[in-house]
Amino acid sequence: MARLLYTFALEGRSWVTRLHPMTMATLVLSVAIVAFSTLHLGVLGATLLVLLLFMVVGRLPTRTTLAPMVLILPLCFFITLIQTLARPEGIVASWNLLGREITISAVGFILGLRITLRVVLLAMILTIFFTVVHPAKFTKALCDLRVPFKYAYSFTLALRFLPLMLEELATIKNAQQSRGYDIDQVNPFLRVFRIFPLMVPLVLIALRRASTIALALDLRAFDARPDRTFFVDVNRGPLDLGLRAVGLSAAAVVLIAAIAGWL
Amino acid sequence: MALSTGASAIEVTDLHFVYPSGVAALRGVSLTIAAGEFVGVIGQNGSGKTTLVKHFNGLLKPTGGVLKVLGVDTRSKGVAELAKVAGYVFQNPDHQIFCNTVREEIVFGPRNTGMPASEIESSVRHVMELLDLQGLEDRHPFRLSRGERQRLAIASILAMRPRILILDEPTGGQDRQQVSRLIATLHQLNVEGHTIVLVTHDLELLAECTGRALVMFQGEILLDGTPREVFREVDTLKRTALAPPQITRWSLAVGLPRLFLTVAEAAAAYPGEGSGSGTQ
Amino acid sequence: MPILSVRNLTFTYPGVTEPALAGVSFDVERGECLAIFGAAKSTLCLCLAGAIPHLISGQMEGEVIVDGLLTRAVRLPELATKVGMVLQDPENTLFNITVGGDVVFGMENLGVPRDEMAARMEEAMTLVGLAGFHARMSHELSGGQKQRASVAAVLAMRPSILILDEPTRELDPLGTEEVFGLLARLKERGTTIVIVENDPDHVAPLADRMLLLRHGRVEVLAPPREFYARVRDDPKIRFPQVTELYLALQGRAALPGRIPITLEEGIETLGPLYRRVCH
Repeated sequence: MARLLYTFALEGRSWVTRLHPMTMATLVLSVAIVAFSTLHLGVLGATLLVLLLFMVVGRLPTRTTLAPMVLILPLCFFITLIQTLARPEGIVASWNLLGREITISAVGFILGLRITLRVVLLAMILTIFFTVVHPAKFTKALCDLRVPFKYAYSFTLALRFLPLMLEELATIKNAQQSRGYDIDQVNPFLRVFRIFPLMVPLVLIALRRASTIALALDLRAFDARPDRTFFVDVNRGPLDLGLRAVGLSAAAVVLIAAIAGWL
Repeated sequence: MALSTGASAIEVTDLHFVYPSGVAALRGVSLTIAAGEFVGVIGQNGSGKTTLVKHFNGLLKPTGGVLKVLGVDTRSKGVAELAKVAGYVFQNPDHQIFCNTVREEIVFGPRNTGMPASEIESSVRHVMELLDLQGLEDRHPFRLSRGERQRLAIASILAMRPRILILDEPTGGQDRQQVSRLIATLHQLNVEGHTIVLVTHDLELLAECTGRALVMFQGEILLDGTPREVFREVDTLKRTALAPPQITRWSLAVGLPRLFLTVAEAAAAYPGEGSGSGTQ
Repeated sequence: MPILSVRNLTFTYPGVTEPALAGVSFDVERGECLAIFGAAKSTLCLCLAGAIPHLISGQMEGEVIVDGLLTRAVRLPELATKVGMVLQDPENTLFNITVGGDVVFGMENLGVPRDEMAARMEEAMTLVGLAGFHARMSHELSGGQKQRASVAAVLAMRPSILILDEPTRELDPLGTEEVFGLLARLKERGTTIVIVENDPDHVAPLADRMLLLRHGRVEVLAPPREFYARVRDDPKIRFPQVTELYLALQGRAALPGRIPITLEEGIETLGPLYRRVCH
């Protein structure tokens, strides 16, 4: 898993990195509103096309931006499968298997695809967000909105240390495997009950690390004064205002249409 | 030090390993470690030393070449199974400690590998004595000092009675007395017939206890020999930026016919009270 | 006037009956390098940096005076401009995504203006040998580079005293060389250094004086040669090997007076002796 999706290599090729972080946040919000307002195939499909177009125009690297999508594929598969098997209406086929009736619903299948599309849209816009937004700039942007620094900073800290904790988990897993304890060989459904030997060391290490980080932060005058300065700066240009207006208007239109029942 | 019986404990043939990220960590390593040997593996970070020893208990499987542990190809066995024959002690004991008592912690490994209950009892008692943990059976591991936790980690691996013991930097942050104690324990295990592989940055430790040194550099074995033989290769070692123990460099610089590996050796070589009759 | 003064320092952790430090007193002169050995060394370092009493709870008595400021009376951010502490694991102290981000972090917190930050960041990074690294991501660096970046992050706040608690513990030999090379450069520039470090080969030539803590008290405080002579029977301390050899031969050989603490001195002092007897 990529340590951090944002890369400086991107700064050279994509103008999207020069946008104000809050513009990207607004786009995330807009897409979220659209995705949750409706399951209309046309609307969701159009939004997906717009996002893909955005990626092309913004010269975002398709590989790194779309790679995390692979993680949600299993989820999408299950959603579609469950809807196909569970829906009582629109049944196109059915069998009798071991005394139970298995039905395939066309309505369910389409519904599953729509929900999948919703999930894909959200995953995509979030991935784009993390790919183009510099964490330090995002922190600055949040502070400009009067969010207290110590909360705004937690985003950067999480981005920095979550990958480290995943590495620790991998090491812990190896250490316990070396003692004959292999969680991979346990039934996936029972795994959740057998994670104690992995979770206890992880939690302890996380706590210890958190306490050392807290010490290090304080030794570097963290939260010393309310008027802290920032090395990075964020600027808002006409493109930012334009994109925000377009995003929010589109979201508002879809929301109103959905409430009014036109979709 | 125990004589090797001639049977091979670990056989590595043209081992290649490439990480999923694309980094080639091992580029054609071949070696044989005989049963009963005490081998030290040294190298800078990124040289491949940890990657190499992680193959010995199956944590990593070769992407090219073959690796056999006690005659068994590691690709055919899972790590949990290989734990019975090759025990790997991780650098940080906190990566594995999770039980409420020291005893439970030590018993965890043998239970997983299917050791019969009666044997577990005697094994636990033996390792607790060996690692000086007696009296701490019911203590909560979090209340132990770092040194005690490190010994607990070793005990929990030894309790499974593996023939091969692999230790990754076991002396981090320990004072001289604790290190001596560990060296003595490892010597005893080696005498009892265990094959020991020690990965370390501490060349003084290497000189003190190992009979064979493997110097790793950029994914290959650069030097393989006794510590004395390896330390003599001054120019080759320079490439790795590894420096032999100070006393060894001293004997080289002074121009002595014999390289000293330890201070004790050097002191014994000087005639007078306390000197030996010229060991080696 | 000494830059660092410790007067009768006593500290007990909560819930513990025995004090970790019991009446520790010593001074450190400006530009000096003091190496600390023994038990409770980290606790002492935390007291010197002001983490005790400001961040860590416990019973503290006595005084620690840093560059004229009494640590318990002054807020920690102000102390940070006088004394900086480098921790063991650089992974835990580089919390921003880029190296530059970490170097400016302390300055940002102190409200330093932006143009001044750029200059000081450049200065600190050049000093540690990482000039041009400000856009590099911390996780890409080697261990030695990370630790040097940590030092730069502390130096950017311009403390006159640098405290290092086992800075090379997590590093390989190359990283250790890099860090000690940096410390030697800093010492030349007049930075006062307090260091806890097990590796005798590197610490012995750097330290002006060495301090041994036992049972919470200062047992020995002396320049290296005298220190090693006085602690020769302490089984827990690691000596430079040439020093150990010299001490082992005392009484057996006619040794020149000066105890060697570096390889060069060892060659000079013991070389001739051995050349005569070993053929």
